[in-house]
Amino acid sequence: MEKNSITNTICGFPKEGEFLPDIGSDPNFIFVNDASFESVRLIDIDGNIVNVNSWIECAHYVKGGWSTNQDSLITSEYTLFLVLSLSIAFYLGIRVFKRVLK
Amino acid sequence: MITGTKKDKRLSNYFKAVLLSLLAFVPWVWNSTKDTLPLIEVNPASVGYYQTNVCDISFIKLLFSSFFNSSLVLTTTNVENISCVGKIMGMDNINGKIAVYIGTNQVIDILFQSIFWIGLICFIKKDHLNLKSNYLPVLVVPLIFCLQLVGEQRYYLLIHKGYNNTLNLENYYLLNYVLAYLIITLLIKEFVIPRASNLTNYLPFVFLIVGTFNLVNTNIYLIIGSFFGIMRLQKIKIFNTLNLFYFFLSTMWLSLSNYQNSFFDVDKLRGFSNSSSTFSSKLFWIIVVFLTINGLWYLLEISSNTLNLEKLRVNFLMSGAGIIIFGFIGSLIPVANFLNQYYFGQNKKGIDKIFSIDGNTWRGFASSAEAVGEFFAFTLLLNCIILFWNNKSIKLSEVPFLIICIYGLLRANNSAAIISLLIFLIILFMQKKTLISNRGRIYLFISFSLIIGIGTYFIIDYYSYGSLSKGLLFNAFEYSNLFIGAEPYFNNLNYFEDNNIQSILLFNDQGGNVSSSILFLLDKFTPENNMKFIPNPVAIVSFISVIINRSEKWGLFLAKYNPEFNEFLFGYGPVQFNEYYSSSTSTNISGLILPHSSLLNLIIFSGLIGTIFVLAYLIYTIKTYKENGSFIIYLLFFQIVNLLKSDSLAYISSLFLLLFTIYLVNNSSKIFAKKEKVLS
Repeated sequence: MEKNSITNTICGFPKEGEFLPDIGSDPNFIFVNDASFESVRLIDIDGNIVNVNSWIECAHYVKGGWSTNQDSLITSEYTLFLVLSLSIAFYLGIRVFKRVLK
Repeated sequence: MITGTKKDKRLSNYFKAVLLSLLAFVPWVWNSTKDTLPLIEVNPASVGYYQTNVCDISFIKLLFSSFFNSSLVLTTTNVENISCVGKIMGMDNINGKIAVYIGTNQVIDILFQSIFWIGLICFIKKDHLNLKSNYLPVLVVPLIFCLQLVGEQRYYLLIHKGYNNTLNLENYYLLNYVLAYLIITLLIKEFVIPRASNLTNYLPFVFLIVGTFNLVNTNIYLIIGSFFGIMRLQKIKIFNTLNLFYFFLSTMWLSLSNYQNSFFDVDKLRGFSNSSSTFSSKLFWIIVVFLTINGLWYLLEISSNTLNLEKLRVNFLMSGAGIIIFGFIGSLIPVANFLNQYYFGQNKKGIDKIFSIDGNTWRGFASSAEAVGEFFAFTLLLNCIILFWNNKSIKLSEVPFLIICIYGLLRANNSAAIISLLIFLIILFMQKKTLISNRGRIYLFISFSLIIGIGTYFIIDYYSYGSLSKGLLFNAFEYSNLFIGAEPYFNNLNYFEDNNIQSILLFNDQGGNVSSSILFLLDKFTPENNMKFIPNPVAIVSFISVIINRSEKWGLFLAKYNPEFNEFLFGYGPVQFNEYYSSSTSTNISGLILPHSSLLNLIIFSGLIGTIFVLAYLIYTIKTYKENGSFIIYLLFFQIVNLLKSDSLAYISSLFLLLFTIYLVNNSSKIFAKKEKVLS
């Protein structure tokens, strides 16, 4: 079975033969609580919180971008900011270096 | 034998091509080494696997393993977490197809798509103009484009959950945008400016490389245009008549607007239309359109010595052929269709079927069949004009491109473009072969008048003058919110048949439900305003609209267009459809239906005053044109005729084409005299 997928990291492993059904096409879908599933608290980018009570419900929310924390999203934007800033600094450095060489 | 320089150039181009191909795939491969799960065959049974394991498998693997899988429909989805860029973010079974969602990030897309397109520009030879730019456009353009992000809040909220328009140094979302735009302007300064005067020869490719960024509502040509626009403003007197007039209109647009923060779904206009009704978004589009037009004009001005008509002619053919060929490939292979959308910057996904009407390959490459039909017809007309001028015939190697362009024109189903092309070609041919003497012109004029007269007689006889003269108003009433909840007997048709149109407004006091434009035209249509022996102007417009199959679309325009007097005078501003679409005077129509006339678009954008100004400028251009045997003026006539019944001016590529044509006409003596000099 898959070991390191994001869904499995957050929600744990599904039961034998369990996988996420096509909920998107079924507006009347009701998540059934799984007594053996330890409730997981998920959070989205706006800070909304939901407690999920089955692996299917958890996987569904994770698929929709929910996570156990917001750090990864904030880190992403910060990382991108650093990469872009360094690229510009690198370019300007080369320009200055070229001018000095002239 | 290949000379050393040619060999070097070829090697350099090969190197550029390899580098560009590698760079182009970076968004899909940079996370591929972190895959935690294997790719399994994509089929309806494995959809659950991909739904469960989101952000775990790279798209690049699917790209190679399922390249010819015809059941896929690939779509990008914005991901906030950059470790999911280039990963499969889900799948769905939809109507027997498998929808695959691929994670992309809007900032990364802007960056890589720009790198790809500027990389393509690098294949153009550097010029000898040695144009220099300071850092002002490099710094100002990113700030202008961030104004859009702040203003079009409702649009960007839809694609990014973490949207934040707070101006502070901890808002990395906004800062990343500023930095991405800054990198693009630096790239323009480094790689585009050294080639600036050669760019015009490659203008036709704006139809092939649409240049709209993935997900966001902007376009690479706006960035490049704004950059050169600022350069131009630094070199010319800013407070000239044209600019002062635009500043005056801008003040009116900004001060007269009711900012309701309404949202306009830009759909096929993505990249060149304001989605929100806010002060900052309106200000952004006013500035950007002004700078882009200035920028394009600047590029045209500096290219007067490097403009190569032969190259331009061939590039038009190649661009047209490219649209058809890539369109066909995209319609056959879903993965190629997806790549087309990303790398050509299409506003909408291309059609994925090849049969019947689906065979039109314009969708995706062009937002409208009319616009692309006009482009193909323009290509053919321009080719004929330049070939006639050079007294050359088309090369054998160009024939396939020509045939493909003719095929494209036929499949675009734009009969107006085809008919006007044929008419201009006949006149051009007769003039070039000096078949038309002065007397011949008179005969030709009489013949045309007779044909039109007889044709009009038969049309009136067939439809009846009554229905022709009222067809436009009837459609306008049909699209208005009238007779709601009334007995079926009370309907527009009965009132129109009884010539009792004014009474429709009195019925249940529903006159308040119709637009101000309908009320205005209805007033002009009443017999009290008729002049002896002069047909009613509303009836003439209605007559024309029925003949050219526009009465329904123009009727809808009248039902929707409900301006206050000031708005009618000055318009709502460039690329502003918000107020027009939020009008409550018409019935709800699903989908984006534009007015189907660039003149009507112009009235929406710049009002009566702006429209009169533009028309006066066109008349001035035509009046000051001196024929030198090139007959380039036919290109302008062709465009004007077609723009009257199409929305092409709402698309950036067609706007560029019109400006380019005006430039050619304004400078024909210089451009074509240069050729004479070379020949002698």
